[in-house]
Amino acid sequence: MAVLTRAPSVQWRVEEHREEKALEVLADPDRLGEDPDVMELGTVTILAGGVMHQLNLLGGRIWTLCDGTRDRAAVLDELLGVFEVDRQTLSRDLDEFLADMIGKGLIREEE
Amino acid sequence: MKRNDGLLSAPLTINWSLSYDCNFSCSHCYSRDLGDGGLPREEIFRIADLLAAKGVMFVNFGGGEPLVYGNLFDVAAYASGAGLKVTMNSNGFLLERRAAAEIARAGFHSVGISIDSPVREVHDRFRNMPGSFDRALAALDHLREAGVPSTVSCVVNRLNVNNWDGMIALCSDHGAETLYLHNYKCTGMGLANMGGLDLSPEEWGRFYAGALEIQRAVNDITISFDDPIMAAVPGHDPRTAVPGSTCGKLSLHLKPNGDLTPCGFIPVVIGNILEDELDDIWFYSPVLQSMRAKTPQGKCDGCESYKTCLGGCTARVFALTGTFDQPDPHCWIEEEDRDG
Repeated sequence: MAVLTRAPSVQWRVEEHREEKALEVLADPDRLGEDPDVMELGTVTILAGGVMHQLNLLGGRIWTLCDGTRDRAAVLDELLGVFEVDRQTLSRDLDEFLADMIGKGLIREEE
Repeated sequence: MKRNDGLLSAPLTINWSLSYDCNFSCSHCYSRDLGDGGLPREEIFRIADLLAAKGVMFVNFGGGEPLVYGNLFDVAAYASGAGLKVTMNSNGFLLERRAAAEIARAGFHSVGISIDSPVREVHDRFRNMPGSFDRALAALDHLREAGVPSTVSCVVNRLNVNNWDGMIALCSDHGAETLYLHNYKCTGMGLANMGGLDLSPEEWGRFYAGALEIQRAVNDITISFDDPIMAAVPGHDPRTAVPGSTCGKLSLHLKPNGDLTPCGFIPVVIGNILEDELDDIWFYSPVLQSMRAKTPQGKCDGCESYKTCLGGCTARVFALTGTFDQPDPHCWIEEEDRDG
């Protein structure tokens, strides 16, 4: 099993207030009108090589799940419990995100 | 009052002055005349726990000279153990081999050493301390020997503005990973001595244009800046984490008595970390809110750079105008040039 692991040198944290707000809107999309930008807010902040990255709710969830215990399929299963999106779409989003993060050296995928 | 959800949930960095005591009397010192009493060790540990619980990632000890503070290594080890990444800025004078070993044991992530010129006499004059240049270089060597990453902090001023090749070579030779070029702040002694040390706006413009060229050309160390007015350099995309000054958006300053200010150079108390809720200060402080939502004044109004620089360094503007919204006195863009 090829598990996904965050690069150990990277500093990061969950932006709890933003994540809470984004999850509220995810559960009740009618509230999106209150703050149309809320789903694009960074819910995870990453500091790597002197550069600050912000991940939105989906990216942030993937990031937190890459803790060295799950492969892609397991991460996808967890995401399907949070996001009401079909498996194929979510799988494509996951692959795109991982390609970007692995390319930047921020996530590793190793047997 | 509505919470600003665009803000990070807490500061990323707390710049923590454990004491303002110092063994130097530098020409640009912001804290020479400050004398807030410190806190007992248990209160300091409580603050470290609180910061870690709030998700603060970095604590940078300054002051004052951190190595003059008697409990530095205990506090640093505790903060590091609580999960905070601990760094400090030091003049290096007291950083001998034994201190470097203590720094390593205390879990410091990195240590910044202040060096303002590759010329011994220039540095010693700026720091008003004979022998300080040699001791600062030795500090870098001791840190390298102890396995602690080091950086060099340099305050750009009239005495050093033309010798960057020498500074870069110095960093390379002594193992410093990053050279931080700090803009000249006009607070405390920095205000009193700005006539002889600060550059003119046109000189700042030329300096930053040249420094960016050097930054692109140098590979063996990283050159880093902290001045938002760099957004005004033609063709420069600063790619900053936030527009304008980072103080009050990514960081806060903690004084020895627990009072919080937006940054060390803005002496406006916005609360006390032991008496007030950090969330209340961070999200609702009227001072922070006004710093984060500036209104462009004067030549900033209508300037293309404003969306990125947000009027430049808020500390410098505040020191010289008493407000947050006026244009940065270092900005070299003139309204007539811009429009013409």
